[in-house]
Amino acid sequence: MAVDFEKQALNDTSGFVLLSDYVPGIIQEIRYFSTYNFIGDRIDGYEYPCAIATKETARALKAISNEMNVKGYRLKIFDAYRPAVAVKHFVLWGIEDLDQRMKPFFYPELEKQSLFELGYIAKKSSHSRGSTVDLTLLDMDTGKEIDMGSPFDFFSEVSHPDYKGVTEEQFENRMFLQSVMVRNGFEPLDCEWWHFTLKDEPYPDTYFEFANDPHLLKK
Amino acid sequence: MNITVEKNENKLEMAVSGRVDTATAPEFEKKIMDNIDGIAELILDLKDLSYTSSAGLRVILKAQKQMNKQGEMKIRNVSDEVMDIFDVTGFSDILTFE
Repeated sequence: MAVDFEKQALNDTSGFVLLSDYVPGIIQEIRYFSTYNFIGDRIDGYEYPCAIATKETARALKAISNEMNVKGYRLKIFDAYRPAVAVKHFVLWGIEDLDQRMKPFFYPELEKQSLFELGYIAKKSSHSRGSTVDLTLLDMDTGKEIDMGSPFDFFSEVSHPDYKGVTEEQFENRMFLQSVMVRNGFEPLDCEWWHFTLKDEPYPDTYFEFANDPHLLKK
Repeated sequence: MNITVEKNENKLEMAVSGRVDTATAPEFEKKIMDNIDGIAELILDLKDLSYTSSAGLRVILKAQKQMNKQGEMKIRNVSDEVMDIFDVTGFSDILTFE
């Protein structure tokens, strides 16, 4: 029987771990497992509400988590590894221009038809390479996320990390998160304050296909 | 959406700009169907097309099916964003790109 080596490689989980195994202190709100996201449905490929990432990413987040815990914060993860089939789900949703159920909450200022040209939807996502994470900080004193000036996945200029229209405190909060991430080897994204990719990611050219399911990870 | 049409004997070239969606797809379809009779070569220039919805894909598929019977259809100058749509939907396997 012929072996499809490429297919095997895209489903190889050996370099991936359950983030909570490495960083037990994280809070997880995996939006694409729930229906509270810009589409309004559970996203294809999200079989469990857990964050999976490459070992290298988990180690870096562990260091960040330790530093932030001392300062009174927890990492709150919205998304990490994203199966390629999830990214395809985004594209297929993108071409159904009449389905705008979640527009008031996630893209009130934009026409859905512009999400492609603005770069919010594309055929491939860095998340599928396993070393990208969407996160914020939770203040342990209040039990709430710190105020970043816009919610996760809010598609708008206001979500650009350097947007000057937020308050001073909101801008400082964004830079607080960004600085600790960058110091620990991550690169920010210019249009999403919550999005960071490990600079020296182990799989820079591989867009994995396995489902977001901890049972697929190797012990 | 804007469409320019250039007809030369049995060759039809249409440049589509803007966005094809549920609202504009009927106009796109009409423009093709009004000009396609007797055409052996249809070229769609999508240089300035930034988006197509599923409604637009249905029009493109309809045009492709018709041209399969009477000649050939080619797609020219597809943007990265529209190419992503063609790839994910499998249209890149059906269409001929110049």
